Amino acid sequence: MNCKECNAYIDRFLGQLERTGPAGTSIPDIDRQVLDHISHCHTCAVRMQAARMVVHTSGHDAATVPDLPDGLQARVTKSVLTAIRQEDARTVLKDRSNWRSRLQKYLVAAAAAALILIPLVGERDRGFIPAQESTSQLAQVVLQLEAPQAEVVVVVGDWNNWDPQVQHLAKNNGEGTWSIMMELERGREYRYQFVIDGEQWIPDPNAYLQVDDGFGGKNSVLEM
Amino acid sequence: MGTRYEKGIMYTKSGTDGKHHELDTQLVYRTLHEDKEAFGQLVSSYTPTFYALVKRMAPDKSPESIEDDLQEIFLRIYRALPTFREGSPFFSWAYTIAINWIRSQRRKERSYKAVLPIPYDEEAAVLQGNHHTDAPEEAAIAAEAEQLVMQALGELKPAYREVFILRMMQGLSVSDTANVLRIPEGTVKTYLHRGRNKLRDWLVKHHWNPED
Repeated sequence: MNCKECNAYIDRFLGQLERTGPAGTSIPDIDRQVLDHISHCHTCAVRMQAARMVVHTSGHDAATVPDLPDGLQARVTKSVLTAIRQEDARTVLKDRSNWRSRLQKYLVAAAAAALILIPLVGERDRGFIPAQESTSQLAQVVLQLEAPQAEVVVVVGDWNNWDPQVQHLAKNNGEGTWSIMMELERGREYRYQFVIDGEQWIPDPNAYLQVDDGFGGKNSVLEM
Repeated sequence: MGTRYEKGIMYTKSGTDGKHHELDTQLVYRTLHEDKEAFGQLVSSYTPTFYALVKRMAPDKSPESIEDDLQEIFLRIYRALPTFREGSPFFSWAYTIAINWIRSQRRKERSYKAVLPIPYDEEAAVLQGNHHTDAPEEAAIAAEAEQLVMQALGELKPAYREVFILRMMQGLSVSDTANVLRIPEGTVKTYLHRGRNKLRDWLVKHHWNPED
């Protein structure tokens, strides 16, 4: 069989499309002379295979896919996880900002109400109201870092056991500034560093104090 | 529906397959409860499926561009997770998001070339990794045959093309194809029938042969 005869066979093969059932035609149904020809003719083998794809001669249990570029799954997984962590961090910051804004509004409203109510209270009851000391043992702190070229910035410190997987900074839109808001226990001193792109450990340039970290670098100090 | 991937072969099962459906649902549940690594497992599991989908729906895209698309697709899936209905198959739900993203990209790209006949270019195929000389002959033939079918698919209406890609190339069942595309199963069968006839006519008309 030559290529011309093979092409004619493939045309006839395609012509049986109307008659094929869900399972299509299996390889043994293809003429033996054609199988012999396509075993040594790459061009006809490709065309026969294309015809089988259209007529559908394979089942649905296995679908072929183009070869994946090397490392694609790992790269995509890593980039997606990094992106969602940054998004989540931004969402937390935004939520807290909204919470603060709402709290300020409530305080203003409460102060206004107090001013209105004070004249209604008897002279005996009017007087010194001690300021309430905060009973919370936690205080909020915002850390910021200028790193326009960075793709991922995390903070590691005493409070998170220096774990670079825990606290990711969020990049402010359109700027090279990264930030994170945290709650830390009052009355303690913490040491920390930033880790850029998982490799570069640096102290916080905005910290008021840096101390040796014992490994030839510097830790930043944060007093709460 | 998790996907097991081995070089060049994607083993898919029905979207209603209980075991995979349950695993996906567990991973979604864990993701929604702050276990981001669980979402990483979903991403890794579905990357081969969606890589093939993007490559087939937009064959003119570079591998780098497909990688960017994959990231965006998975981010959209992640953002939409709170709207995922427990009990429904994650697989077809995620597929629908992916398809919608690819469609929106196509609308944006006015110069989308997939609707035009794509000349078969063996050199390009080699560069894109579809055909490499050290691959087994069968794999090389399968890759080139797909390239040829993709060329023919460029002639089809988008609706026929999508059905053919999902059903015949991605290996989805008629039911899953209908769920993903939000069309009745009867329409899937009709579009598939018409699409295959058009492809057959194209292949008969174009005797691809470098010696011609």
